[in-house]
Amino acid sequence: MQEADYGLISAKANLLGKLSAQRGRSQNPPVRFWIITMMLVLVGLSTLKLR
Amino acid sequence: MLLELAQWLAKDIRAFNVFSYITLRAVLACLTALLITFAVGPVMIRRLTSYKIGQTVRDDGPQSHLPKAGTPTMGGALILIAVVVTTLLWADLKNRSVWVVLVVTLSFGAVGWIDDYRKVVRRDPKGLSARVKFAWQSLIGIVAAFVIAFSTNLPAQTEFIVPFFKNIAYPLGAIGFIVMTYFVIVGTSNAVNLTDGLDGLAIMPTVMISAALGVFAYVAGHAVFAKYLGFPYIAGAGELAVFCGALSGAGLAFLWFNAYPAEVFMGDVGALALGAALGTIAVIVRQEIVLFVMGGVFVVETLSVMLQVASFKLTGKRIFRMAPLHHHYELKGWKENQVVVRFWIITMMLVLVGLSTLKLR
Repeated sequence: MQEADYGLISAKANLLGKLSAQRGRSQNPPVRFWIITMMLVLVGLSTLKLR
Repeated sequence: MLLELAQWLAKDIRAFNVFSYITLRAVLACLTALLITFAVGPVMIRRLTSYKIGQTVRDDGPQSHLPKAGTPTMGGALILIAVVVTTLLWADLKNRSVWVVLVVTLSFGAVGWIDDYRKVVRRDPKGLSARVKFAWQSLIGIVAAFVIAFSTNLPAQTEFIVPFFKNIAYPLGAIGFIVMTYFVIVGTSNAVNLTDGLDGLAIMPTVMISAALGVFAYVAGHAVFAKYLGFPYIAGAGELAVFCGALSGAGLAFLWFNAYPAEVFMGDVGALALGAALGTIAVIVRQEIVLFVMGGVFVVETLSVMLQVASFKLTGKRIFRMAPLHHHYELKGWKENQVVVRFWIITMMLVLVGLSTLKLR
């Protein structure tokens, strides 16, 4: 069961990888998610003053 | 520019007064620089690729780096464009410190650009010779040191401040201040350049240190906070928080493209300029030692090169498997991503230590 799950996850990852490769992009989502989070934190911080 | 516009509009609509707050403009500068870099980044990467401005990889480096050959470089120009445009938009353009930092950053960027251009476009492997590059860096550093030294109007603004000790500050005098400023600017510039050897390794610490220096700039430029926290008050330094915001935003967006596996490298045009910017800001806000602490990764990378060269020349033996230090860990078996993220974590810790000096003194 576990192996099957892992298979699913890797199949998804492969698909995402292929899709991003097809679009000419590299596979670096973790750091990009961190960057998006940092941007959202910044927007949150700006509400300190913008009210 | 937008500050002047907001001030003009505030005469009729009071809500525009909100833009006179440095904190808000720093955050908006960060977001603006992020958006500019995100917008211009893909276009610039396509251009650099089409012009075949690709990185050459040294064959004496780690073998794992060979696939990086051909990745577009000189992406630092993207950061510089975003930082300059954003600063011109959000900062008070009557502020001398802002202009000093902008000019120093662009001048070091120009030196890096010439070096990159010769190496990558003209295919001259030597680029700008080390001696010529250092001479230009020194000239810009000395001119900047003179300008900053003669912009100060209080003795406290040229004192060497020791963090954690409220009452220890050494008066440097004009010559001492100029010499120290020169070493900080040129040293930081080269240290960032040496660190820029793995995907995202140099840019993220630059982002974190820049954000922290923005806090120091804001405090130093705020008479009440400076007095409360025991800092020398430096009139106008607060405006550098806007520049720091822009630098953090542009750097963060650049990381989007520079994260492993990198689509673009910053090259000398970025590394030299960013290092010089950090050094200049640290000098203006009188936080050289704090920069030294927060930039511990840059310092250790530089020391590793110096020790390696000294050891090899004196004893014929190497201390590290390869210098700078990040290559040593790669050859020890760490993956590139592990080295990069671990060095980021170390920088985060050091930045926290640096920020703690705001209160712990």
